[in-house]
Amino acid sequence: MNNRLKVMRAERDWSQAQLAEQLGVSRQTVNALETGRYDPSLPLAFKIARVFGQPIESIFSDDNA
Amino acid sequence: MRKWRPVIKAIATTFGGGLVFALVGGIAMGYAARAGWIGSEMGEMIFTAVFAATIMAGSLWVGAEWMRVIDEAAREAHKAAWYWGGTAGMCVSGVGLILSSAGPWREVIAREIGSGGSPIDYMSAGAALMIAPMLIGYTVVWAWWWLARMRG
Repeated sequence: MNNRLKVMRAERDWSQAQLAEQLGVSRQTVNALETGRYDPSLPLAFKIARVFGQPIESIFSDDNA
Repeated sequence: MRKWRPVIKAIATTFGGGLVFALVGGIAMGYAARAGWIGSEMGEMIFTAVFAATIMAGSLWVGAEWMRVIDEAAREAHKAAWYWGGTAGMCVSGVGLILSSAGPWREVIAREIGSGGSPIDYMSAGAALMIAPMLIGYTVVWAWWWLARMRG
């Protein structure tokens, strides 16, 4: 799965630690999400969407789609 | 820091309670043995078994609170470490189990590792050899899981 987390975080000038705090996860988890090496659960994906104020499908996209 | 309170509470209760139990239980068992209610060796064994079981149960509680506090990626790392690391560790122990169970090579192994131990030594060594590879496998897979996801 691909995501635009890194770009969207940079647009808001947030650090990984700041985003991690808002999501209630560790900075390492944010890093793993951004590099695409960890796919979030559905609840975390919804939380990410809420934090960025965007629909999930504008943040995450399927490799096979 | 507040989110770690349940973990700290579980650790303090387990090990604090363990220390209190060790003190009170030790005195009670000593008294019971001196009064002749139970043999001193039997008393020590019962006391140690209950103490060990209590500490292990408390450790499980600490682990449960820990798993509730950490985030989902950290939980995934532990799940992967438990399954792959633990299973790989069991496979290593499995080779030892098969080799030591039957076959003419048992004599060769026995000569190599020496003899003279008592059955209880073998029980202790067997338990340690079952745990150690699983623990090593767990640690290796846990570290690998995170390292694989830390690369940019």
